[in-house]
Amino acid sequence: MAEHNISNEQHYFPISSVAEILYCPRNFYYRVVEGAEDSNHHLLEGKLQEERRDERQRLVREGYRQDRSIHVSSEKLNLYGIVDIVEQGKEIYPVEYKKGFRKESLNDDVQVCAQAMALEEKLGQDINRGYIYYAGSKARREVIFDEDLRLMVENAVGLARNIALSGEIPPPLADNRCEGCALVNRCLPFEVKGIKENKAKAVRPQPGINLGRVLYVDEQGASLYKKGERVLVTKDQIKFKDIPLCNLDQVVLVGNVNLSSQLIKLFLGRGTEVHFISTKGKYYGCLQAALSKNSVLRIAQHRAYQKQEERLLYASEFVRGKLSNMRTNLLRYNRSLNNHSIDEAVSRIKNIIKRLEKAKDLNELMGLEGAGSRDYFSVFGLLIKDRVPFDFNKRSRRPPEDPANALLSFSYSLLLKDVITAVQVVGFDPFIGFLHRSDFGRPALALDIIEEFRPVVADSVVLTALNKGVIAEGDFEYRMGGCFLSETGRKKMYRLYEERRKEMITHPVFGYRISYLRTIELQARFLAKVLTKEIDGYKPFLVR
Amino acid sequence: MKQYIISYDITNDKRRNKIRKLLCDYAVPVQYSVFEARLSEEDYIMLRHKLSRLLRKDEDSIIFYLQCSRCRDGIIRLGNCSDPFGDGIYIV
Repeated sequence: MAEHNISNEQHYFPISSVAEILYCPRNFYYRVVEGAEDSNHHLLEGKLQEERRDERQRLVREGYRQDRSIHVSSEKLNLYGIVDIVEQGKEIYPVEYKKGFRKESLNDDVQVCAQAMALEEKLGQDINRGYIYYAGSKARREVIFDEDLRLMVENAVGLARNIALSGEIPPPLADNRCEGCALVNRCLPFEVKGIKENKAKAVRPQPGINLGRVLYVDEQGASLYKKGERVLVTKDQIKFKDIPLCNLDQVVLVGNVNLSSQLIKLFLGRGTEVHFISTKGKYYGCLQAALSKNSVLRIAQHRAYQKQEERLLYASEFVRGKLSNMRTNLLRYNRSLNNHSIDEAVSRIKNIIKRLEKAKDLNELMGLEGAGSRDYFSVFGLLIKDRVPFDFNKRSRRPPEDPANALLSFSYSLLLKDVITAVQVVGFDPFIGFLHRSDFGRPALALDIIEEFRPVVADSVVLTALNKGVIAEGDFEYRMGGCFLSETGRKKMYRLYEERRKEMITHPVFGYRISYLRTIELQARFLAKVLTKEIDGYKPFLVR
Repeated sequence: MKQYIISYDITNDKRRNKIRKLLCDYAVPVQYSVFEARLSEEDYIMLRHKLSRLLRKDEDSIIFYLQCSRCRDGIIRLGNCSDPFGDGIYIV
């Protein structure tokens, strides 16, 4: 990505990010070029300490004064930042606060030195020393601003400019420096390094942020209120639920449910996902905090969309993911069934997968996808046990005509909410897809990524619901020639789907155990890394 | 994500109410003056930060008992009390 939005010579960099370059250049890239604002407990702790510090009054004594949180900028270095404390006695010097314990650290030294150089420019006087205060050990360390250190500041600025201008992402460190980094979920250092060195199996999983704690409200006319920092679900003065916000990752509101604006603000602030769907399973949308700033990714996405070859390549991978997982699904169930027609469908789908590579355009690809799906659904009914009172003949939608189709449609809607979340968290433009066209405002990219998860997540939920007898005939309603889930049926499906979503599987590439929920986010992150040319070739998520 | 049992002993009514309200935002009350919490590192820091503003160090006490997964498996609940977190799937 040569031509990039940071081409302006006058671009100013934050001092803290520039100092960070010496620790991890990739961190600088994410913070400054992609505009990442990911936080974690280390950063929060530092921020709170800063708040507490700023509450104390400014200190002025005879011949000594102390000013807190001073904004500085340097035109020579093109830097800006905040100096935690400027002390002025016989001489003037900056003090930088760090939350940890006293340690020698070059990037901390560079940070204070850069602050001092900016201050020098502003005050027109030389500053020869500064201090770093370590809150953990309550001790100061003196830093002398000699020629070497000043040179290092200038080099760091040069490095920063190079990264910003080239727009090229520095390789991941993937060592113990990544422990405790707030960006680890975005960066995926171990995974990226593993892929690049073909040692993907040796990767440890990082804990995800989303633990799949979810609140479904499918009580028509119910209201959600904020109480303190808790969610209160009530209807007609009856209290249904009272859950602390910190115990929720996602809220799904089905049908007519009220949501107070105070609560909306709290959800946005915390980044809790909120999705709206209709009782028929139509996806309306979600609450989204201010747009993710990842403009680099959006530009890459649009560029790939405009190149027919590249677009076809990604589209064919999505189809491959879908058909392969459909085939695996059939194989899994056929282990106990040993049905001849299923075997035939499996081999037909296999042949279609082989032809994907040769597809010349999107239409041909769509044709192959359609043919594969038809083969799959032609035998899907055989996977339902005989004693189950529902049959499946063919896939029907808009509206679904029978209970099995109603279940499929509904599970796909539930899956869509999770794929849309993943697409948005990563910072994609959800409306630009590769396989799906973006007409009629469809979230085309989410529809692309959802394909490989349909058989393994949604279809298997439907088969579980039917074969285990969880869903009964009374769980459906027939309206306007269509078949829909009733309220009791929907509530059963929420639980089944969420349980499936949290199920752990062995990741086919990295060999570690993670939940389906995490794999969806990982796929979106990998697609982003492929589009921005960090790693080669998108690989769909294939179960075994 | 870490799990804690939080208990408090606060004699001043006004302060106790304030602290109880705050604890309710982050933890689930299971008995009088006993809470159970499942907190991310960030929420834990936030709670500690907010508590430190309300607490009188010379009079009040709050104890966080961190529970490892083995401790959690050993919890026995008798009578009218259920696991406040369950599987984290709430359906209304």
